[in-house]
Amino acid sequence: MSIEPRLRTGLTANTEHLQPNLDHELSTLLRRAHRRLKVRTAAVGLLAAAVVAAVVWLSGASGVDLGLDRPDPAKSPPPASSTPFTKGPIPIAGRVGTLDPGPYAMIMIGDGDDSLPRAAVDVPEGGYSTNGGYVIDTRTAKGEPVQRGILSFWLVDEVTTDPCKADSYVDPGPSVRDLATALAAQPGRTATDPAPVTLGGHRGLYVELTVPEDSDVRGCTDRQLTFGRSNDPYYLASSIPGAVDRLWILQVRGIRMVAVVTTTPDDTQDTIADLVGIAESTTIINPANPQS
Amino acid sequence: MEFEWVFRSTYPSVLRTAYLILHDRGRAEEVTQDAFLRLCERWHGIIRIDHPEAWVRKVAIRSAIRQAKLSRLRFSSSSPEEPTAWDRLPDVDLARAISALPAQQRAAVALFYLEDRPVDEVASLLEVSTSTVKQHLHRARARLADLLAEQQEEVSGDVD
Repeated sequence: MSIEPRLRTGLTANTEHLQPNLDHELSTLLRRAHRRLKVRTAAVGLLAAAVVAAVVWLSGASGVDLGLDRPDPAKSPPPASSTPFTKGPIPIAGRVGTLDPGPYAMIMIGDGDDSLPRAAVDVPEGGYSTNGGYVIDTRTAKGEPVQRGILSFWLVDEVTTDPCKADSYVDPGPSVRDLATALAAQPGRTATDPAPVTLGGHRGLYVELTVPEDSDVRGCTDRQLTFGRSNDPYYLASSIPGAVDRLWILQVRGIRMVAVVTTTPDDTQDTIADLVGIAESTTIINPANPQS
Repeated sequence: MEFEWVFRSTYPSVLRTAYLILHDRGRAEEVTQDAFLRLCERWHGIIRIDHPEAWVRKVAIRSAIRQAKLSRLRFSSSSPEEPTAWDRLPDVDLARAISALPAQQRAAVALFYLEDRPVDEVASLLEVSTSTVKQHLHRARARLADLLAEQQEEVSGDVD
């Protein structure tokens, strides 16, 4: 007699007692995720503070030129004051879901203690936050949410030499051009030549990186291409053929900041134009004085 | 797509598969929770995962297989779960027979016969070729048939 019928009925019967309490499991999971985030944030905060202190000391006290691109003084916001964070753009951090229209201070992925300059954008109707990025939320005819494209801001510390292998990270070097060159040279995507650009009054380089339509990521780590990471465990990655990352790599007050608009072939030209328009309207604010 | 929706719709079946690989409810819950934790962290970050259900299932299966292999090395002479818990299963003979299979075969059997997934999807989840999956299933069926026949003979012998 074939064993298959017994396998089907026996396996079902032997697992019927597994009735997880989903409410309990979900709340346990979210508590764990929250705890891990707090631990990471504390660690990254200490690291960021140390890096900032080192940069200040090296560039100020010792007079060493770090070779970083300088912001355009004519277009840069005025220096930060010590005014407490009471007014100005609404912090997007911690918000997940549909946003009311208005100015929002974006998360800088990789800046654990929110101390570094950050980007503010004007969110129009239909905006959505993924707690890390801003998304255009188009709606279907039935009013169901369809999230399209994403705008995010990053500190990118390391890039992969082979995006198919997530363990091939290297330090690209400190300057805007170092990062643009390293990303453009990665196999697995086509790249435009890095071109000079100004965003939010700060100079940098603009580059577009496209995953080819015939890309096959089945043999890659986590079945995706991993391009870079910040110093907390967030990764610039994609597994979608045809996905395009539009990068504005800027030097803002000694910090290399990357604005990324990611879209996929499913995104319409309107969505792409909207996201790029929002990215191009970026202003740079100081967390200590968001109105600066 | 909401994380909570993916969690609620996928967690039970991922837990079942992990349980059939590990034969230990506590460890299966641990592996499943860990896989969803990884998904949750990525979900609220920036990374887009095209098929979160498949992704989390793959992470859990990979981890369960790894743990099953390790526990086989550590506890090769003992049952993976307390005998009292085994005895409460409706088809305890099948459970014991399945626990004798290699972890990869258990995973293939769970995905194919319990989850009713087609061979190519099982191959994708296990990151092996379809012919390897067919081989796993063929060997698992043959081994299970032998083991269950032996158990049947033992029972018959006891009755006689």
